[in-house]
Amino acid sequence: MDDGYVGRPLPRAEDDALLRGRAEFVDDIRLPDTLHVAFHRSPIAHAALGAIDTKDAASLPGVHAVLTSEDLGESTDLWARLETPERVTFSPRRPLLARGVVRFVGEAVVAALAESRYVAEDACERVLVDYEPLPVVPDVDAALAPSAAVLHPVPSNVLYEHAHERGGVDEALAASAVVIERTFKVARYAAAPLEPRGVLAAPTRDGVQVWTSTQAPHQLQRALVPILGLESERVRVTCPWVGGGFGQKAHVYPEEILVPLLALRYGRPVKWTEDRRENLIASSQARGQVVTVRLGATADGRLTALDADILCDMGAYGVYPHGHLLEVLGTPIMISGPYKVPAVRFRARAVATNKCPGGAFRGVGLAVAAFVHERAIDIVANRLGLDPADVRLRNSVQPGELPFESPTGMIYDSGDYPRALAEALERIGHRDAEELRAGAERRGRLFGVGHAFYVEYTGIGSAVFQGRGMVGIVGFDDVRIAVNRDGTATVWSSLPTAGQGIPTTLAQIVADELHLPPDRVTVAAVDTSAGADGTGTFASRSAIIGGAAAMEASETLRARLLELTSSRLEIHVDDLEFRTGAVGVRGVPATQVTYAELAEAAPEGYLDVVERYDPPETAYSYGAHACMVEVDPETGGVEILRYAVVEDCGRIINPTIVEGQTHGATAQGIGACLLESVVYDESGQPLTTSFMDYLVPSAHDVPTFDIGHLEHRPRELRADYKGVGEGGVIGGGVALANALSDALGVELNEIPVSPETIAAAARKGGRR
Amino acid sequence: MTALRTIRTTVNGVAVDRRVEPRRLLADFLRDDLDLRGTHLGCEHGVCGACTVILDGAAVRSCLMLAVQANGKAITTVEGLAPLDGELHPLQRAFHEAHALQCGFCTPGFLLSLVSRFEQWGPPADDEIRTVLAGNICRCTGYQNIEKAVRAFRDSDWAVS
Amino acid sequence: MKPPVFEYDDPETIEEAVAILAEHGDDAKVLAGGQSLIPLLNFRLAVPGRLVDINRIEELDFVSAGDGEPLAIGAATRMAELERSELIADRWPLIGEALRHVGHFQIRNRGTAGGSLAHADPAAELPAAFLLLGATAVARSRGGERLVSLDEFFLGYLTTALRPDELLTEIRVPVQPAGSATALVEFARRPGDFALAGAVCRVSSAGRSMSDVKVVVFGVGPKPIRLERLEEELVGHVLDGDELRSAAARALSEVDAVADLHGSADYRRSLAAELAARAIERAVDGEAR
Repeated sequence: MDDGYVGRPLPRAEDDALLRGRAEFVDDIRLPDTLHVAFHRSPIAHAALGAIDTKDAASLPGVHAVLTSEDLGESTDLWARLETPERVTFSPRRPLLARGVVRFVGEAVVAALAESRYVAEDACERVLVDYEPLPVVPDVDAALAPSAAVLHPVPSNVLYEHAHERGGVDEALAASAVVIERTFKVARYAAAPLEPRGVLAAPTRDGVQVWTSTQAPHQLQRALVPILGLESERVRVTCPWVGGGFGQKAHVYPEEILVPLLALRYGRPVKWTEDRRENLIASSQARGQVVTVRLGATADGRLTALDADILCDMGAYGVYPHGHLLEVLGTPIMISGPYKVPAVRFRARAVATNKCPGGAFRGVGLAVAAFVHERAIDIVANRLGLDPADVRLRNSVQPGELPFESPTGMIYDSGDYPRALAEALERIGHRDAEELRAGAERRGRLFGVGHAFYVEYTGIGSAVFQGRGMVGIVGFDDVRIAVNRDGTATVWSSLPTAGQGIPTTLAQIVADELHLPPDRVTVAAVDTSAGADGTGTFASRSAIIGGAAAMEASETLRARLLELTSSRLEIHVDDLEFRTGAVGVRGVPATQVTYAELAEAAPEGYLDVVERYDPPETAYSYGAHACMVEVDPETGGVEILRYAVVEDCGRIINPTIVEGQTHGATAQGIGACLLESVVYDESGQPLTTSFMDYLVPSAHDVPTFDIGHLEHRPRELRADYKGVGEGGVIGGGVALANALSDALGVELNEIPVSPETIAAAARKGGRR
Repeated sequence: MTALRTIRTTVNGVAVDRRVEPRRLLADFLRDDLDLRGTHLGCEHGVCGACTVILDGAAVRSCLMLAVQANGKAITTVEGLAPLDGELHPLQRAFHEAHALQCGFCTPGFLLSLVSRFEQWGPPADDEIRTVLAGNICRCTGYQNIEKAVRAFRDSDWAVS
Repeated sequence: MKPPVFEYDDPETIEEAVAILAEHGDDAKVLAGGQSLIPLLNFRLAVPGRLVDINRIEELDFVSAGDGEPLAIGAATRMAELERSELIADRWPLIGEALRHVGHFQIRNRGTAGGSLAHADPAAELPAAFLLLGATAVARSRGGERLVSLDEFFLGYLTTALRPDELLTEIRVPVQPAGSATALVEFARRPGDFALAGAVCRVSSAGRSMSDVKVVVFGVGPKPIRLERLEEELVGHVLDGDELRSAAARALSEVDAVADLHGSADYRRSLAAELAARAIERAVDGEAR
């Protein structure tokens, strides 16, 4: 269908409302008599809760109620059910308000409800809490010390551990010409969507309606039903416009349970709008790993064995419903990247610390895996005096070897990996490198080139979630399509957009499938009452799963349209054909029945179907980044001169949107390497509590990207798409770290790298 | 709560009289009292720029001003850039055509910053565009398409005239 | 992140403002452009009982200098207005250069010169620039007017010589030595952020050697710091890159530098030394042109 809408760079349908400032984000929704919530949050990382005095707060004019955990009871706790057979795991309960003990700075202790947010904050300032400090576990090293305070009622702070070996790692390392051993560290990051989280709930005649800034409204609905004790159809979750998510909004948070609970308790709408400080200290953070690796190779650069010990700082609690299993499962299974490594062993542990819970952020697990394998391969290449690009290509899975079972048991499905890297090198003009290096040196600056080469799993379904023990995640998604009496189509799904362009891309798919122009296809806001159940938008699922479900629903709908036309015209379906918005009789241009007429004739006045898709296997996207940098050795300042990305997300639905995803994700990778980091001090105090200290890249910090595409379709999936939202962040950080290491002549094995680190490295590397 | 004060201001060309508490932020006044909810709060400490509005011609952070300080001033919010359901402002159109917005939460702040900047300082040269953009944070786009939109707008007939 | 309750006054004259400060000074904060104070209120890190908003005082909003006369800037003059002043661009270009590094244009549209001095952030550009230029602050109270040289104005981190009952009304900048050239060089993690360190300097030359040098670094210590030792070492010398850097490093080694999560004290010292050297080189280049 090359003349279809899929593949075209259509401008987005959803832009108009956003550009006019008329798109309603959750904080924009106004309901009369709304009460506003603010939280008193723990200022201490680990403490036993003593007396809580709320009298002064409650007596303030305009304050409606002040609540503690005593007002809630244990039945409201969030608890992620995890079933990971034969592995050690403990999933801590998360009270909506801290009960007995606080485990991180920012944990909500008291909720104040008032006529305005201003007054609710005034009330929080008047709350007096007795904190009896307990020993603090500030990081994974401290958490593993024999004398460490243990945060949960289990023997140690290791809440999850698993191990794997394939091939004889020890033997292979012993026989290797070269073995490197390094420890890599990746900081904790904040996804920092520009719209913080927020939730509004209002009692309805027989239940509650909830509006929340989320990537997964159906997950919230499933969590709320048992806690509120209401029948499923009485709990309605509506997803308004969402101002960015990047994984942070893929979880169910305590506030999303508490606010509906309070709306029901007080019989009034209740709203909580997260502020930036809360977002930076109490919404899930991500990554935070220490990975120690041994990597062996032959003298000509063939990888022989990889041994990895992976420690994930999961913070004080898991997240719902993913638990604390995100990074700790994602990193090890992708630790060998796009390479054929005959022997791989890993041990991975998720460790509890007195920090904000660790959750999802674009490229979960994958970004750290890529950082490790791409830094390690550069180090091996350096050690052997080989070109890192050659070492990558030599070890890469070749197109003819796909599908390929990775040493960790992943089935890479499709593509041409070496071509991605070769094209990325072409695009940055890698042959200019030595000339540019010499030019930089003449100006007292240092020049470096870096690559990143990665493969990523995208669009995972129920089998993968079940296999990972995340039994609370259904893994499928529905698409419901209605043909209306005006001949337009409306599409509902369980996949909210937070900027990814889903309303446009889904409409492009449905337009092709139903023979309608895209402007006659409307993708509705996600709402649990709309008849499309599912999982949500995260882990690059939407195009793959939503696209497939839309195709299935369209197919069913087409069959209905044909049948109805057939009986109406008394013509066999084989003699019918689809025309734009109509079913016609082959060879008789004048005879047709429009969709509008068919819908009008239906008993309900519309025709609708819903279909479900649950991907039978995972689609593996991959890509390569290449960049060139210049470093000011005295200040540690970095300038990115050229940056190229070549990616493969299967068939491209909308090239403009795909490139936009790549730009944005790569910018986040650059931020992760140079600017961003959630910093805690030894007492567990977060130091990056504002955008003055948590540094999100600005326009100055991001270069212009040159992007190339390969389009290898996935193997076994209904639709031809693979995920695209995450690749940029996976490759971005390490490509830059490799370029800086090259420029400095010093290994940078920990990100982010500050200007101070770079300046010190320039001195150490003797290139200053 | 301290005594309310009466303020008179012109917002998107409409005269407005309201009584406000002195501590009320201009952003909250616009959003809650005037129902102009296109002004977004992304950080409430002046870094992200999502709440930027135009005050007497100059782009300012509405989270870093008290509503009482707008007394006697003229304000333009994103709702004032294009008539309701009428044609988009050429800069809005340039953003649409260049895919310069993803989640769109930051977009009103970028638009108002740029409109004011162009009017007060004239069109930026190529190497000034990123500097002009640096006072607003976008977490989605990586800025490339925003830069593209600014160039297209700058080079359009509208900006030249 | 909403401001706490406060009493609010918005006087229209200096007279009224200082009367309010005389009565409530200890419990009041002066609100100028608000680009630093309002974030502190929103975080509730500052909880003043009263705000004295000086934005309606027209007599605080001016830029003037007669021919061959010093520059006078009203304390509540917006930074953007100073940026547009041809007078400043012609005769005190360092002020314009410093302004271009202050936040972003949206911040400068609201921020004021006096607010920047009175807030006294050690990494701010304007305090360092005005200190270098030999400026004087005019402080008014009910008791009258007091002139404070900027050499004595900055006492420490966010602390100035202004008394609680005093209002900063004006900044006076002397006519700069004929033939002198100035420069500002700073380094920030992102352009527009407060600098990790920066330097401003003023250089006059006699023949090939420097006859007069003045250097101030900022972002290093708790307040902007003049490097007198470096100045002494350089006077009478012909510029040499390596020697200049060694001298700057020696001068910075005596500075009590501050550390935060963006950079250690040692880094800030070595960075400031390098930036001071670059500023001097740039000023000398500028003078040569």
